[in-house]
Amino acid sequence: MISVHMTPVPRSAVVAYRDDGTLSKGMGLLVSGQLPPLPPALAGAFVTAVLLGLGAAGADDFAVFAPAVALLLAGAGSSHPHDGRLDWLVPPILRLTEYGFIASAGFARDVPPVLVFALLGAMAFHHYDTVYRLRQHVYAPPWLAPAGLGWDGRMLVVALGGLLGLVAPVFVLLAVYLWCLFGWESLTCWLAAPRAAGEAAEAGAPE
Amino acid sequence: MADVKRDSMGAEPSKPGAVRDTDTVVVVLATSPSAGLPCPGGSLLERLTAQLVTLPVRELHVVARGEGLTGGYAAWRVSAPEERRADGPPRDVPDAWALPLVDGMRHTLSTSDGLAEDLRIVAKSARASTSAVAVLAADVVAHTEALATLFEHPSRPTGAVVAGGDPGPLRPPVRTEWGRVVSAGNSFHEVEWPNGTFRGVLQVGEAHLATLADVAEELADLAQRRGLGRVSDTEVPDLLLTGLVRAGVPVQAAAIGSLHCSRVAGRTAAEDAVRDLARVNEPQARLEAAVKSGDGFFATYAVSSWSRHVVRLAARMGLTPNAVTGFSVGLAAIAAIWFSDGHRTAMVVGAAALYLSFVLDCVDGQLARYTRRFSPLGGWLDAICDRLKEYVVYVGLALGYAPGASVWPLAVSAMILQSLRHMVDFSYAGWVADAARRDAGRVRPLRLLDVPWDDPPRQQKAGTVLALSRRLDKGAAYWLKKIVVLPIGERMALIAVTAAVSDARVTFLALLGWGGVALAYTTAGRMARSFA
Repeated sequence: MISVHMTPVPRSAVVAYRDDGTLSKGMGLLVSGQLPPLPPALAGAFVTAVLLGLGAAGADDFAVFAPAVALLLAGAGSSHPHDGRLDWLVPPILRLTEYGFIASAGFARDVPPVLVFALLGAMAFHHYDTVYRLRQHVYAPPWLAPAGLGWDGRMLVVALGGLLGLVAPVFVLLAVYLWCLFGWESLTCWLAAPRAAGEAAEAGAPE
Repeated sequence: MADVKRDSMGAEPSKPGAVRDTDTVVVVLATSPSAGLPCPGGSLLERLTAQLVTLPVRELHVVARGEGLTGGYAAWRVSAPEERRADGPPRDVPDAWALPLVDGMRHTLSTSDGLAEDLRIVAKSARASTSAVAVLAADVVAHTEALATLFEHPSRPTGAVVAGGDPGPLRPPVRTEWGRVVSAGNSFHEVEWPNGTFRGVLQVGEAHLATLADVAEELADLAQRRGLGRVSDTEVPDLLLTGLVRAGVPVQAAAIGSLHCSRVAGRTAAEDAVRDLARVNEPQARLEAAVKSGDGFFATYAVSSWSRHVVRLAARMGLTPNAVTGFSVGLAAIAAIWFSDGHRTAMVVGAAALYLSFVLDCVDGQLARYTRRFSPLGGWLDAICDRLKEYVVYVGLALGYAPGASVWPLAVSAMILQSLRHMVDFSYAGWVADAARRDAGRVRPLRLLDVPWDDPPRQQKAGTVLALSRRLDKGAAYWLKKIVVLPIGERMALIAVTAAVSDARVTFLALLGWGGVALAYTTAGRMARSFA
């Protein structure tokens, strides 16, 4: 008996670029994919921005609740097909929400800026890598998305750090964890890629 | 024979005796009298054979008509009608042009009595082969480098040599879109809106061999039933290309730039074509083809204008593209370290290092094209290192900013903005690809081979928009469109110049200002196109 493990090929590039975690995917299943993706993603970004504005200005930090709200909103659209005319805006909006929240949280709680850069760098590495993989058919294993926590999971972890007053240690832990996970997994995967994986290999021109 | 001598700068030049399993199996159709046309050093067929021997070709099948064999091949037929190895030429081969010998390269000759049998021989070769199969007409007069674009490509892709010019008897029309052949013709099958011509050299990658065999057999049946109109037996490569494209196989249009590749009929045409080959400096043309690409303004005029010398030097030193990528990262790290010092001299040195890092960033891709060393790992390294270099430079600049006033929020904002801009590009491209795949799944009116007509391109109704956009793709408007979106070259120049004459704060504000405009411009443009 031979068993072959095939890495599933994502059916939609846009959905793959969302980088949903387990919770976000769960939210999508909860509403059984009935919610189109763009409006809730926009609403999630807007609410996050408002809460960040309040949190940065006010005494009490409302911003820690931003991830939960963003998850409830944007996550719910995750399993709807992303075939609307403007649905390609969803991944950039999710990136803006996530990166903006992480950066604001880091600066508001006086995390060393290099650390903010390191954490954002780990996330950006993964997001760029996701794109390059899809382009060259070097698909990520299915466990990588839950292990990388997704945009939702990462925001929640940082928010949890905020609630516990442990933002800086959480930044360190998360940055180290994500760099090790994404860096190691990606490097081994690319080194194992067949040398002649197809014509896309030529598309490596700058930008 | 100067024009078949190869510049050995390419990756793993195919040395005699180094035939590998992945090398291409070539079927040469020497079925028309043109194959025997004389040229310096023998016949066209012999000239082509000598060229193929210098390329990674592991088997060479020559298909000929029983009566029309020429030169050395005629003598071969006398002594070995079906098959013979190249390592022992028979003694009765005329001495004029001894067939080149290569250890391990199978060299066979078969005779066929017509179009249908030619096609069946191709089908048989495709079924038997475990590596890419190429089909060539023996009357092809080409630069060896032009053939090498397909045969020496590391992934041995499915592709056809396509060039410009008006369609003619030995130049069937094709329509290409985005570097793919989407419609191909011959004297039976038509092409709507042709924009190029097929030049008689076709390679089919391993993944598409079964389709090639099916298509060849289907065409053979059609030819036998006289279902292909007035198709002649010189059109085997053309018919196969049509068949592959209509079967949905993605066929790359291999562009050859200023190199030549064409089929000839008649003695004067052959002589002219061979003479024209010598007018092109082959290594130079290959280098130019490697350097030329649709880069931005800064990359084109401040880097590619002189980077060819670096490419040649790197090739001569035997550097791999990945090594050049590594040097580029090293220079960017040096730039970041100098920037982090913050003093004027250090900033100027950092700016210079950043410029050189960007030059090497362009060189790695050009070197890969020049030496034909493409690998998925190389493409990934190049792309991911670009991001790494840029963000490391941001960190260096922020570290070097005068203490007291922090510039970090600006640095982080610049990084987020840049990532967002890329994400908009990627996501839109992904959405377009998704849509194309959905379309392909839903309606696939694959054209059958027994009907001559072709579907006009779907975007035809947008002809005016396309024409307008094409008109803007020239001169100042073209460059303005490219510069507005702040591509990587302009970004690096902006960083280097502002850092050298001012400070990190100005650099980040400039990146945020220009980048913000670029984000608005591209996003608005894509949204408009989504509704078009």
